[in-house]
Amino acid sequence: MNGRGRTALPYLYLLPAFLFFTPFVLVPFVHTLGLSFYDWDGLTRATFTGFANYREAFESALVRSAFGHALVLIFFFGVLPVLLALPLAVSSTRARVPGGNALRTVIFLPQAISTVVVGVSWGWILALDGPLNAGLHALGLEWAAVDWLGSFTWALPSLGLVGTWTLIGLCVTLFFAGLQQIPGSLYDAAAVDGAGRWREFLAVTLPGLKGPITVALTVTVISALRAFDLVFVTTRGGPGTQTVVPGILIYRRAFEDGRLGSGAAIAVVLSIVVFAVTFLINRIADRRAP
Amino acid sequence: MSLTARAQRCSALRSLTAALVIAALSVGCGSNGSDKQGREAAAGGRHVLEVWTPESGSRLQLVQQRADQFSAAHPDVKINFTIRDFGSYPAQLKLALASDNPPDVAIGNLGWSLDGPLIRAGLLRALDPWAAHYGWDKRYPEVAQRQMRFSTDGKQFGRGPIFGIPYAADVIGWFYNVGKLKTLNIGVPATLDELEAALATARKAGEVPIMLGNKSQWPSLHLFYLVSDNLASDREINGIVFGDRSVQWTAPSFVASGRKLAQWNALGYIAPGANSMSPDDALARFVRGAGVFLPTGSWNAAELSASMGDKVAFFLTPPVRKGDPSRATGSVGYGWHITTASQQADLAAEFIDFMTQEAFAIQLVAGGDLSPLDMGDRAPRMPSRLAGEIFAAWQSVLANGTLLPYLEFSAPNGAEVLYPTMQSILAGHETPERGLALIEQSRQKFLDSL
Repeated sequence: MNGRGRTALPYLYLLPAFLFFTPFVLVPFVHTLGLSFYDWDGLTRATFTGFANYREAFESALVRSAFGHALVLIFFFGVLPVLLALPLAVSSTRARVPGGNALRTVIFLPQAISTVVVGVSWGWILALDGPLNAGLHALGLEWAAVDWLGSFTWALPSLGLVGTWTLIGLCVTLFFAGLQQIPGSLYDAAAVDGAGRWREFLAVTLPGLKGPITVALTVTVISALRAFDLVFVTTRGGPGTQTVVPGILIYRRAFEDGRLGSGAAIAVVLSIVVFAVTFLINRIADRRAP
Repeated sequence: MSLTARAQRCSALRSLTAALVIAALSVGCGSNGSDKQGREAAAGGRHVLEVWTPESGSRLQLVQQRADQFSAAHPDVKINFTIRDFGSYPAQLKLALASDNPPDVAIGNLGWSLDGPLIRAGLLRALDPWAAHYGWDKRYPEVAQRQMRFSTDGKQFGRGPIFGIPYAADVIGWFYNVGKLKTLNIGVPATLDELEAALATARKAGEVPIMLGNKSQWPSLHLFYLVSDNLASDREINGIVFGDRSVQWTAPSFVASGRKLAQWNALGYIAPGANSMSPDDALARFVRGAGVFLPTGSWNAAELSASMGDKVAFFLTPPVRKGDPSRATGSVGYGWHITTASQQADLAAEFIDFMTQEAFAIQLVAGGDLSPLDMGDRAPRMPSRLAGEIFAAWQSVLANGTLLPYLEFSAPNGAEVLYPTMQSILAGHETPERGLALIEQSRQKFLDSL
């Protein structure tokens, strides 16, 4: 009796979360999964088509390029913010600058602003006659001034850098919190062993930040894969199809073109990619455990 | 139930536990029995006509005013409008029509953008019985009427019964800055060559020849119309739109049109930064004096006229051969439709007839808008010179039978393939041959799916 009660208790704790999770996440997901095997315009009778939507998705150059763009965004939304946030966080703990807290708040601020506002603001900054190009002109770099978001070459990297700007604050904050958890004695030991700054970073700081780095990568990579709002506001997928990401295709097919099955199939593939990538990130992090 | 009683009940419920509130609100305040019961109660036994519209601004105002006049003439009828913003309207209307509580009357959108899927799903009625009774079938020139025809199974656009009755119209052409044309010493071009010469002159003088807000991608297609209307034949353009498989986007006339677009861009005729500029932005810049020509639709006339007065004017793309009638892309906009589910179709038809009579057209035109009716000399006084020019241009394409349908009505997925590809062709990022083949491929796929 006692034993049985003990096994049921954890599930009881999970129950409230599960009650919300089921109708809002699980049911829609299963529904989407089901839809992806049908050809349905949302109005007439749906016809079962097996894996046809998936085959179409894999064969479509546009769908493939959308996932390719998402991969590029993983670099800008995930890898780059982590690489830039590490030195920022480490140096801000070391140097006690007056107003350090204010600085950290400012760095975190983009995270607190709605993506639509971020998109509109950067759209203005990156415009052909926007402040960025005005700055380039002032520096005598006229040749470097382009229509960033309207250029077939630069639109995707520009969008990516807006994401970097948005997510770097989150990474700095996570790393900063992580750094407080590293016992000072480890640094003392490193110093006694005669480790230099770089050696100390590799031996003490980096292993100590393994958890926060994993969290940061997971969150940012997911936001790269499911990017929609920023793209929708700044470029709508253009110019041409240079910044089309899976989210844009899902939205258009499901809500505009009346191809719900096709949209659902892309959504399912995207979900699987998200699961796989986050699993991979956590797996790699686990393996490197000391 | 009165509003306050309902509010009190809601606030009482809010004091219950969190879970109960959620459950109770959805039952107590949300549906409150069926909406139909509420409808009858509110009307006190009168007829209530449920009407959906995506209109806004002055058009919405005119529609509502006219509906009020209908109610005044029919005291036992109440018109209940549901207004949704244009962007989300198609999705919301589909849901409403497929729900247990569909409206009686709804405004649609042409071709495969909205009407087609609804007719295919059997949600809209063929209006032929009423069309004959009210004379709708003779009210509009056939070039305009055709945009409202669908086969009864909804698979064929442009032929079959009339499914919608139009009330407003639009046409695409060139707005121009009157002062700049004068300074550049250019007259209003009478041929396509003269138009191109004007663009070259403007460019040489350091002006932006064509102001274009191409961030939304469809403006590149509208610019394409201005060329293809004159290089492609009626048969080709109607064929693409109305699902004729013997006509393809890869036809030499369309390729030539695409090439001309790319050439204009290469020659620097298109506004720099167009790809990241919204159509609204482009309009604002044109108003502030940037750009000699602004290729866009008549729906911008009221705003342009209000902010530029007589400093802005309008012409349709001039013909290839001097003296030929101008050809232009335009539409009878949206139609009034009667839903299959409506229990009061005759009343709905009477309402639609009232909403589309010449009296409404006169109000519309007097406000600077266009009507699908051929108004002859009964047209009202124009509110501005610009409105007069656009009205005359519109009436000329109706009278000459040179009104051409929007190519984007040919398939529902313009945003995914047609617009971006056209933007790539314009930018020279994609060759016209390859781009148009891509567009044709997607059109064939859609036709196959019907």
